[in-house]
Amino acid sequence: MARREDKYMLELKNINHSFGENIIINNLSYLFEDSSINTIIAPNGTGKTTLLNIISGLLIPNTGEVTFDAGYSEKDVSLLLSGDANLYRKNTVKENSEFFGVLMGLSKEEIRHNIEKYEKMFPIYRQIKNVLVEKLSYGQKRLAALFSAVISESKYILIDEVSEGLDLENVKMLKEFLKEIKKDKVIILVSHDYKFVSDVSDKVLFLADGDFKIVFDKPTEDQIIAAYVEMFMKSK
Amino acid sequence: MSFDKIIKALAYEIKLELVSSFRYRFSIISDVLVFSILMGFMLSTGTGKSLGAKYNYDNYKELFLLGYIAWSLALAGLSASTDSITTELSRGTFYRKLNSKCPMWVLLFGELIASVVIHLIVIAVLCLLAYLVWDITIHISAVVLLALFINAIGMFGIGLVIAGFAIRYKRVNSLILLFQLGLLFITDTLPTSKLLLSITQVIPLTVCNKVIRENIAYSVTDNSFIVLLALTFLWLVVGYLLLNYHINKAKRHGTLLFY
Repeated sequence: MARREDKYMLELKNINHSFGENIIINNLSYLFEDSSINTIIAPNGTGKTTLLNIISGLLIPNTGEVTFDAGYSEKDVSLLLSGDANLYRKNTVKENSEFFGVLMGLSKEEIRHNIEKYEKMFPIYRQIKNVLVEKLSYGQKRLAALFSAVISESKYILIDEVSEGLDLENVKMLKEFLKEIKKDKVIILVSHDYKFVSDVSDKVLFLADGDFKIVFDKPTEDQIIAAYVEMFMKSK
Repeated sequence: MSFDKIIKALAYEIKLELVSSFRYRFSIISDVLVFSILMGFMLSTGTGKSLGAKYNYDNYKELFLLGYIAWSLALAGLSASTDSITTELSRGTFYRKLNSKCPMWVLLFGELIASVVIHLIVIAVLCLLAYLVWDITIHISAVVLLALFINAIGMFGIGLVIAGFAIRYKRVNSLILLFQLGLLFITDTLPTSKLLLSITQVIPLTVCNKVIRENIAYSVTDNSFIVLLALTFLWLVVGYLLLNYHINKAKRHGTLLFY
């Protein structure tokens, strides 16, 4: 776990949350470091999305708090849900990107600058920018949503099921893109694609019984799988 | 977020909503058809005859049509809050607005403006149709125009209350539809009993109908206009507070993202 004196941008302090009798998050504390990609791993239905919702302020935990670096708040968090939601379907990718940029307080010039800056790393944007979201494939919708979050310069980007629905080419592009944009950001991913996770993550956090039981620094895919089997499958 | 950026966000919200609505051309066409057919049916069957006697005005059809326009604008106001929030909840964009740096009420107000602009198209067709088929000319004064728009804002406030319940209790679309139709019968848009009207005086549309018809029939505006303003303000405040209350409750129960 990162020590308090490290440069950090996001801290979870003694977070507890239950749905009825079911304890989902159990006294979880953690410091997410600056300029890092962190991936949360756990079986389905064990609190990953709940934790993302708590960090983004869309779910208020029973106890505990989320603190952000000075000058930032939950308004600087972009959460991208799994599935093909997140965008306005009857509008183009460009219109969506600009709109969410405006909502984050950017001027038109800043948005234009950011689009130019990021589209070099995200070549698919040029192909899809004038296409209505409803006409995009599932994977393209996911990428378009990510692009709209990135160009709005959110400090904290949370992505549920990050590589879901993407073909090999786009997975490769997304890996490079995430590595490029992580500077001065905290990126938190949820994924079951362990090859993807090992390729992009600075930290991999195993969530079990509502807490991060194991934290790996840049683990290999084999290490992730071995830890997963050990932690979640051996007891069954 | 600075004031000029808030204004830009408002302008962009209106633009995005209008562009999106015009791409759903069929939605506007179906609105025109539904409102026209309903109006045609009511005018053909002599609905609203008693309005002539009530306001001592010969052309009862004009009084009815004004009320009908007020009702359609009231629905524009309602749908700007209820429909937009429920739609955004189901397509997964509401939470992005909630987490934006622009205050939520500004974005919702943008939806209201876009919704009213689109309904103006419907109203223009209704007026043209009423003129061509039934020879009805409506006399719109500044007071009438103002009252119609204030009515839309007031009904938008009621919509915020309903939207709050929608966030908390999910599928309330059928109730919203029932309420929208019910407004026709309880707000004196179609002649309503005195007893019922005494209860529904708290609805901006009821008061708006009184204001616009009195203005047309007697060319006067009494305290009703002030009442309309006060009611609108009240519903906006109550709607906004209740919406925030339900959002916070949904955040505590974890139901905000499940729609």
